[in-house]
Amino acid sequence: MTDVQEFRKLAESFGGVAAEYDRGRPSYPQELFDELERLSGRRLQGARVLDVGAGTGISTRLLAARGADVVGVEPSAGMAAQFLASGPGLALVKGTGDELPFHDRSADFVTYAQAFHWTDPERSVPEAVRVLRPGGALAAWWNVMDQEVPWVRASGARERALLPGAVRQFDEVETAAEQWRRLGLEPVTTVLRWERRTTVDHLITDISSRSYVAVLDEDRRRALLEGEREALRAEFPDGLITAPYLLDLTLAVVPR
Amino acid sequence: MAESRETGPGGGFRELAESFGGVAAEYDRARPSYPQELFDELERLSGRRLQGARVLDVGAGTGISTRLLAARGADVIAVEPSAGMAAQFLAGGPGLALVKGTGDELPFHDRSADFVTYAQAFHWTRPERSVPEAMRVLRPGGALAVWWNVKDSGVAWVRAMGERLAAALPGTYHHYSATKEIASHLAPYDLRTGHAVLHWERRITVDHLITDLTSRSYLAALTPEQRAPLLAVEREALLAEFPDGWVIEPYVLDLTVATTPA
Repeated sequence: MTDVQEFRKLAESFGGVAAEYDRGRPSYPQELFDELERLSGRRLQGARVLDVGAGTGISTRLLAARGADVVGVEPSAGMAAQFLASGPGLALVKGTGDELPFHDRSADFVTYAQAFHWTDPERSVPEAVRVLRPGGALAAWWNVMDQEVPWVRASGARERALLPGAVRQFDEVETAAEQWRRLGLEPVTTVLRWERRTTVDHLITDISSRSYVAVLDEDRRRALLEGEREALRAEFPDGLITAPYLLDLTLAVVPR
Repeated sequence: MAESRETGPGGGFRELAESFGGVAAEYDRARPSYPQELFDELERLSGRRLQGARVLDVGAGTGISTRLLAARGADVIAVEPSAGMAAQFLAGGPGLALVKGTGDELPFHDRSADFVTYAQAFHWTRPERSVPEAMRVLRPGGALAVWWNVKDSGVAWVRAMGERLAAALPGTYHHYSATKEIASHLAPYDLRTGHAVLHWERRITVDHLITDLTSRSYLAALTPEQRAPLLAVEREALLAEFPDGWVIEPYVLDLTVATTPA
């Protein structure tokens, strides 16, 4: 399989685990949206936001709760079905960040929650600039579990041993900030630390919705998940976990 | 409009379709709106309330119908291909979602909408593509609704104006025979159709009516030099008919609603 085919297969794997994604994935703390407003110099209240790679709508719902007029953009039919099942009222469009179905200068924010790495920056960055109004902001963020914490590091090491080459190493690729700078933007970044109280079972659901796990055949998938469950049970005998996250935000304002 | 199907979506059709970008302000200011009875009929024929419904308003133009649907409590997303119309739409105020696209290729997921509406716009699509597209994005029991405001040519001065324009613009002038063709476009599909005709009128000035004419594709596609004498003739004829400058303009509003199987 070529890299492109492999990438496509990973990207398309979400359709089959949309329910697990919606249930298991971490949400985002309100501080993220405070930072988004501070760094962009714009309020979310009443702003037109295009939430690209909206998935099941985790970020879309939070943006709407802050008073933004959000439109979710999502290519996957499986994710879209989960998005639509979660309730009416939120607008959803079929599309990708590489080719946004919106008019020039029609948005105040283009946001990518845990999604920008699925785009081709050579296309998605100019597309965002095109649809943003002058002074509007492109923002991308990722939740990554804090690898400084021993049990998180151990979990990652186990996954890499089972799936050599498959687990994305975010620190080995060019960062979004580097890509955007190369493409003419002036990004700023910030990192927020937060944690969520969760259970071993919940964290296993989260892991099962990751693309590199979702593409595995049933036997390998079960082996990986059961191995993780056992190791986490040993670490947290009462089944309760405080999961530590680093939330990495990159934002660039389009010149006026 | 019959004329579009005859020339096909090549040269003349495309030119006419794209002519709206240059007259978006005139379009927004002068085109007739729609009476509330239209939306009552839409709800009656579809068996669905607009309140809280997901509506895709296709060929939304400057947003005349989109704003009315939103005022009825619908969650509307407008779809419009023209950059000029979109700019006018966006200038009309924030809050309404607008997507770039056409009815022949809707940028929405399967079974994601309760209504797909075409206000004065369905004749710009290719029905063999736009009808299946609407059916794809509609939820079971959802409704495709198309309507046109047509000046009532049963009234003498309206008929006379139509005859003058048809003589001056052979080949491009059209009136909406689309209202007669819609049934045949829907017939091949598993749809339950209903139809309603509403008569209404608006009281406007001669100047307002001339602005409306300016935004018609068959006049918007002309150069200002070609357009001016035609508009001058119409203004003169209207002022002869309505010396105080006020016109009662009679409309026939033709609505077809096609519901997908539940």
